This record gives sequence, structure tokens and C-alpha cells, in this order.
Amino acid sequence: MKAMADEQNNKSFTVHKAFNNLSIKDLPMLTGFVEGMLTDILLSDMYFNDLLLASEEILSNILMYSHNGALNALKIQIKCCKETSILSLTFIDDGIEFNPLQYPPPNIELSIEERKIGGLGIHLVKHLTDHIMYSRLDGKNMLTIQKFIKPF
Amino acid sequence: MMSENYSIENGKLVYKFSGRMDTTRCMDAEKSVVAALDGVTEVVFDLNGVDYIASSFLRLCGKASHKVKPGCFSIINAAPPVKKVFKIAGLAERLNLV
Repeated sequence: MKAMADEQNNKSFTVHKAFNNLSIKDLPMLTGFVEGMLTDILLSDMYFNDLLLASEEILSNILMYSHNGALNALKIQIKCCKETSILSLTFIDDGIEFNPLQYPPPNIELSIEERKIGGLGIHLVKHLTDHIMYSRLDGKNMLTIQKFIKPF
Repeated sequence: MMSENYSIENGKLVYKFSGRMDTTRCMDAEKSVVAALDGVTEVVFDLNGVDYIASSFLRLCGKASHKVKPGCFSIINAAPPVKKVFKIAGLAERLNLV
């Protein structure tokens, strides 16, 4: 088991898949794909849970707020890359420009319903990951989250 | 009143959740939860068996807590990974996470 873990810790791992014609009903399929990828990487439960939840929050925000009325037309690409001790997940979508890093921290004095929709999810993503980067290129949003993974 | 998900006795609703309360399951459960909240004066969400929650579940908890007076909503049997999410969101105290 340790030999397999050592090999797993050292090897690079990249997965890239594109999904088309998406709507909110496709969220379980997308999170299922992320879950499968994270399972293949043999992450400990702690990293697995954090990254799966962060991914779900990002994907649900994209599906709910990026389509600008063009239902069932969203395209999303998901890339997963593990280099030794850093795992990166990148979400690329062709929806309206949307930078989640511009959200201010949620005001915990407000009731949960009063807080800006989507803000709570982004707040969770920021605290569940070690680094987040956003860019807009060629009409696409690119959001990358990273987690530093300690070896077994 | 009993169902497979909840019981109501003397105005106290105990609603049991299980498994993964992800965005989709929360959307599916909301109608049932809102219906169960009608007319109750105390609410307990029992999270025994829940191993994952998304922000949609936090919103569902918030919605339920506003249906009763302050101090009359609580959450019990939350596993450590679930408590962690409530704490990150700053909601553990407000939602009376036991």
C-alpha cells in the first residue's frame, strides 16, 4: 500500500474533459465526474471532501448564474492536474463574465436568505482551498482552485 | 404526525436527514421540509447519517430557523465534516449547532 501511495504521490496526473449543452439538472453528473477523478487520485478523506464540496459550489454557481438565459447551452471543461504535492482543478465555462473572487465575504449579520445568492458558496470555496485564480480569456471564464496535498 | 423523514409532537418538528445533502437533494427536499414546518413552534434537524452538506443545505437550515422564534431551532448529531462547513460559514452558533 505504501509503495502504491509513494508512486501515487510522485506521479503527475492530468485529466481534461469537456461537457456540452448543460443546465442545472446536470450538476449531479458533473460532481460525479469530479468525484471519480478525486477517487482515482487516492486522496485522503480530508482533501477529498474539501475539494468535492468546493467543486460542487463552483459548478452550481456556473450552472445557475452563467447561462444568461441560454438554458441547456452551457459548455464546461474540467481539468484536474496533480503535480507531486499540489492538486489543481480548473473549471472553464463559456457563460457570461463571472469572477467569483469579486464577491465580498458574506455578511454574517444578515439572515442567510439576505446574503447575496452564490456568495455563501464562494465563501466556502475560499476556505476549503489553498489558492484560487480567475481569468477571462476568449469569451471564457477560467477558475482554478489548488490544494496542497501532504504525502501519505 | 409521522413520516419516514420527520415527526411532529406538541408543536416540535424533528426532521431527519441522511446521506449527502448536496445541491440537488436539497432542492428535492425543500418542498417536503417547508410543508413540515407549517404551524410548528420548535424545529430540530437531526443530521445523524449525513456525511456531506453543500451551501444549499445551509440555506435550507436558515429558511427553517426563520419559521420559528429565535432559540427554537437546533441541529443535532452533525458529524465533524458537516460541523466544519457550518463553522466556515459562520453559522454554527446562529443555527444552534449542538
